[in-house]
Amino acid sequence: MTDERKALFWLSDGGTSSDKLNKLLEIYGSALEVYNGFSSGKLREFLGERVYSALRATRDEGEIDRRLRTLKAQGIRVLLRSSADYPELLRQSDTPPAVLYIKGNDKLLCTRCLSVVGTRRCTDYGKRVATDWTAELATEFTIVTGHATGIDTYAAKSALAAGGKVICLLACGMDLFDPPPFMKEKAENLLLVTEYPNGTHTEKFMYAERNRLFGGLSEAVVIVEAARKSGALITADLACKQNRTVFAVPGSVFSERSAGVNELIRNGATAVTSVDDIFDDLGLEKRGEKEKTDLSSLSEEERRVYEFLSDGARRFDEIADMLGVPPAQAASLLSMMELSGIIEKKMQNYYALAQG
Amino acid sequence: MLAKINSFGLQGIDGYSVSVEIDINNGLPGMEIVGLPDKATKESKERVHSAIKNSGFRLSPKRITVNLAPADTKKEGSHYDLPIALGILYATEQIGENGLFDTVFVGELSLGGELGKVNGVLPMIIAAKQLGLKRIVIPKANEREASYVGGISVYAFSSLREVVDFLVGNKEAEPIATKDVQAAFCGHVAAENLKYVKGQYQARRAMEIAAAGGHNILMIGPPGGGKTMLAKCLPGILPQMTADEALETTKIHSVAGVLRSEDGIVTERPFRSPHHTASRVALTGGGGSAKPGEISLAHNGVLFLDELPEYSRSTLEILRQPLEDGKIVVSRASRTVEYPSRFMLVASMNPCPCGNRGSATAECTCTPAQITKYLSKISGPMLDRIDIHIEVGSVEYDELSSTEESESSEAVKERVDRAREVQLKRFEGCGIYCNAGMSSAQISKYCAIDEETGQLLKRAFTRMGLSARAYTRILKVARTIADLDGSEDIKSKHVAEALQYRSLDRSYWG
Repeated sequence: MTDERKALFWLSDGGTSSDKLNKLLEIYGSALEVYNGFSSGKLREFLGERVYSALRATRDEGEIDRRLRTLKAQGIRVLLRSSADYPELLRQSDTPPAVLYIKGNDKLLCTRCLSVVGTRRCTDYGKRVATDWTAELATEFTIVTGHATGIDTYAAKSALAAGGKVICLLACGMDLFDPPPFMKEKAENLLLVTEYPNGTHTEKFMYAERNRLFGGLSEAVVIVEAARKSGALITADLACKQNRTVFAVPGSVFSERSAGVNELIRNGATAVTSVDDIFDDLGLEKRGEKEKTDLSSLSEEERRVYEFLSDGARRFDEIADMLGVPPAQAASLLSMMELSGIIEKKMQNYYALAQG
Repeated sequence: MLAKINSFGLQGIDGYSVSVEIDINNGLPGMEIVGLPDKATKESKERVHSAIKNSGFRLSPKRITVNLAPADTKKEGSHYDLPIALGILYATEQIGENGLFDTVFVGELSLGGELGKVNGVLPMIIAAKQLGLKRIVIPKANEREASYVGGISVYAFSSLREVVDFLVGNKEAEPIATKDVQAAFCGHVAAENLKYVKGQYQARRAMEIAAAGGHNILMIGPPGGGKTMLAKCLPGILPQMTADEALETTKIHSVAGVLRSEDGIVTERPFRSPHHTASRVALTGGGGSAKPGEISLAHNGVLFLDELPEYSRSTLEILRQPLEDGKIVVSRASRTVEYPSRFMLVASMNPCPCGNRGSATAECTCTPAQITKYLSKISGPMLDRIDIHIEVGSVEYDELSSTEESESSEAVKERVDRAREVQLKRFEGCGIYCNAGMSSAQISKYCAIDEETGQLLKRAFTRMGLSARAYTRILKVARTIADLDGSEDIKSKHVAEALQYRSLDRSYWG
């Protein structure tokens, strides 16, 4: 065999981890060298029995071609580090995977990426941040996130719903991941990425291994909510080592599930309290101030409500008292203002000026 | 000598004639009661035995057979004591006929011969009157509830001895004076009054609308916001019960044995709040003694379910029939009983399991999955039957400590009464009484909206993320708001206000 690319695929498909694959390339110079000089006992020791026997079983050009064809039929592309569209940021990161398996819109790899990750067991607060912020972040960035429940899923869902683009990093073989309906609906805006060959089942260490790719692929990482021992903290750590900015969304000091993020902030992560903070830090224009509501088009009462709410959300009772009208009239007025998009109803009878 | 005494049994909330036959034979001394008596009825023989002895009569050592005819229906309760005792006295020739056979007797006897209170006297009297019977003797303790039925002479006594004295003519007694139901309504005061509810303008307004249109209502809010208090105010702003409604409700309460003897009649709309651990039978009624359950006790009143998602699914499913038909049918292998249960459903729930969701001051510790699970418990058919959902936020200290009184229940009730009058006129002959009961055909007939309002509603659906189920509810509620406003047509301001009362359909809840 003379094709270096096939040899690389053969090594990766056999289950060689990115770490070991990189080392092999360093020692042998190329994958072909490994392929051709395969029988050595040292190699066996280095790769471990399982990978070694898998490689030996598939060390045949016909078999490699067959496997490549199967992948192609499944819509999975094998992306090599030498390829021109291998993301430049990732190439410069720590332990860049020599082989990536990707499926979906592969143009997303060349866009500006931002990771949004957090705990699986998120609170309503985390869900709101993930949902609201990601929708806005997705207007400028491709959102890189995982497929776990909690923050990752909410971020992916919200970005896709807002018409944004999403790269989802898997911690298993491509064939073992069944995208949820919300991903299938927007397949054109989605790219699934994994460094594991087909048939690889998730194991705990693989999450940690995968998490380095968040930092690797994106300019910065946003940690939305994480408890003290959350995997999101590993992501932050690895991103930091790769010289990426880590944004942390602060939470209540009493909330267990924000303890990890708050600690990140204490250790020097950038605390962000709005999407603008992130845009600002990454050198993007602040989003234009929301168009001022045209006060002249409002009725006298509507104007009073507008001014009353400009200091922040108010309860129904306070608004009715301020206007000095019966509740029925206030309710009717507030509905009208809601329909005009001037105000928004919040939970527990709060009303606030509409956001953007 | 064979004795045949008239008495009554209960089937559902109606009385039916039972004739108590007593025969004395030679044989081993003892008493046998036949005709499917339950435990309480069976034990009657011990009470009757002692009561006769302790009232100064004698009991001959003979074999006594008591038959409760018709013999194939189950007889429940202790009220056959009096007819059995009198039958024995007649059969042993200690008293004569003396009008014994054209009088109805009900009452429980103590060992000493005193007459004690029994359940279901009101339906028995009504049934006796309908059968054309002229006289009925009841225990003194049941006197009050008997006084609202005319057309039959009701005598109340406190012991077996008195009854016998009356029968043989040793004692003069007047039948109980009939009282007017309307008179009983005067001067009653509702337990809770809206004037003590601090703040909560929107909830108060929603209560008023719910009362005016008979809409079921769901309150969502953190603990301590005053949801229970608001619910308790509702009977006070609902229209006064009519005499028929009061009698029907009293019948149910009488059968269930929850009628207070000093009242005699239920004048205030009942407010029932069964706990969420209440069993199904406790809610529907039925069971061994065929008593009405909580939802029937709430007939013509308010059924309050606090912490709605805590109730089991099967419990909530039971509510569907009464909410639809205004009655509940309890079917058992041996018989089917029907209890009326037309009530207003008032439910409350927290916004999430911990209750702090959406609060400006406290942190919610629930995961989205927990919240979804919590909210999903009340989805679908149940929500379809609740027209109004509102949020009841927590109250600030300033509001709590203010001494200013809000508008009182009486003032609100006046507006509600006016709106109900409009509805009664509108639905004359339709078989419904208020806007909540409107069918789809009636909605399209009575809830017509103009072009401009239609546009507004359309905009509301896209803008507020309302679900399809909200459409007819909003129209119904808007109809009630227009009625409260004294307006013939539904105007856009009415629809706009109605939009505020569909919290659970709104997307920010999702």
